[in-house]
Amino acid sequence: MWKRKEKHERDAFAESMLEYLDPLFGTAMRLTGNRAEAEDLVQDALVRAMRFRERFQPGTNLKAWLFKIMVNLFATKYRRARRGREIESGPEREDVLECLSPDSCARSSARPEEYFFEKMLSDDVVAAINELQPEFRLAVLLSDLNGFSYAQIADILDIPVGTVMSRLHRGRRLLRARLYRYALEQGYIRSETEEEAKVTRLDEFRKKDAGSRES
Amino acid sequence: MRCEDVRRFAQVYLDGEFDENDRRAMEIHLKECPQCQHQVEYERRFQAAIRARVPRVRAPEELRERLQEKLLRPQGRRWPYRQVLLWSSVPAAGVLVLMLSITWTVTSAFSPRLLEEAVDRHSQQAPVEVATEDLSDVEEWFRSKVNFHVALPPFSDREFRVVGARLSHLAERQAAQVRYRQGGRNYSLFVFSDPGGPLELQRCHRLGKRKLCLEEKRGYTVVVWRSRGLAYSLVGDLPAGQMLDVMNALFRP
Repeated sequence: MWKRKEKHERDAFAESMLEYLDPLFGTAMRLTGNRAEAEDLVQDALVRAMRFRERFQPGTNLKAWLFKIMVNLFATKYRRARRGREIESGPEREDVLECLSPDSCARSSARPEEYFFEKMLSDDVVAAINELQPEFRLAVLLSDLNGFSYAQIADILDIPVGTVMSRLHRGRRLLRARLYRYALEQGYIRSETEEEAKVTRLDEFRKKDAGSRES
Repeated sequence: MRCEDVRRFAQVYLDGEFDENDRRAMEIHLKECPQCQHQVEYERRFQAAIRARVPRVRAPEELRERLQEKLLRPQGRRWPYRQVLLWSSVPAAGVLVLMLSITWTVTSAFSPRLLEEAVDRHSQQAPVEVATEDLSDVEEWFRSKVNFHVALPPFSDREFRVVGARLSHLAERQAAQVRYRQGGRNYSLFVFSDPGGPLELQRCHRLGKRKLCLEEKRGYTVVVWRSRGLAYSLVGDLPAGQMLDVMNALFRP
């Protein structure tokens, strides 16, 4: 009888884990960028979760627990893969400084380009998310795609809630800056905003600024 | 709250992370400040645009099969899922609930997609379109928006408070989504016209005159009941046993 009950519990736990397979796989795809690696990551995470299922506290959120395991596995692999390489400080940083919030890039509420992101295609958004650095990408994926609360994200990533907030905000701003650039490149928006587009990159702005001073 | 704060915390507000006081302060400010309103609306539309454009990926069938192979014991794989879940969830139900109710096994399902979507809509935590603690305001707000009368259930638990509502959809069916809060938890109540057919989920209980059916999904529990031509579905992030305790308190005579 006992053995039978244990078997039920094990299978029930596996079944409940498999209910989260789609969101886990979806996030793994966005993290790794390819299907084979995503499958490996999800599989490793669930096998690991099964092995340590005693550590799961019933009544807490199983989805968050599984994401935590998967994200930790990803972080370990990712760290190993890019050991010694510092996170580049390139245009990404400058985008943040120039952050395309309504006040800086869409001052006039009458402009139709203001809500440029509503014209974007799925592919553009996915590409822009994929380009984010993993720490920002993760915050955006966990919040906007999986609906986790700040406290849950803090637990999953093992960082303070304040850090979740700033990563999420910065991630969304970076995303907006990228999408804005795509929108210009692909002609979703144009004309008067072109001048602004040129100054969304700090380096270009500086060049331009220096040029105008020389003349 | 100053404009500066509104701008700094617009996303926190939209993410539903404000406590009751901050939220109220924010909403008072927004009512009077068109610039900040515009800023918050801009953020809201951006977040909504992103959410709407990232496709929900389905895990490949081979992966699912491989994992079933790896995680389930050979015998477990042949077991019907409903039975497994039912078996494991019986001890979780409270004693009071067991006294009040009859549990039975059921065979069919009340549109699984409808339940899925109720959990999706609840967990997305989209901002409310009307913020109010007054039930009649909510009913009034829906009057011009849906083609049925949104009659909200008279819950007995005073701590279970309405915070706002938004228009929603469940399986292509118009639904009124009403957000409640109690003890730091969020709940969503969906009200929609009764789709008909048998109401049979993983577990069904009788509470007084009502038949309530529950189903656990992705860490949430969906409770469904029907009343006078309408169907009601309450979603909360509690296991089924605790959710039943909540229902008991809500429908206490």
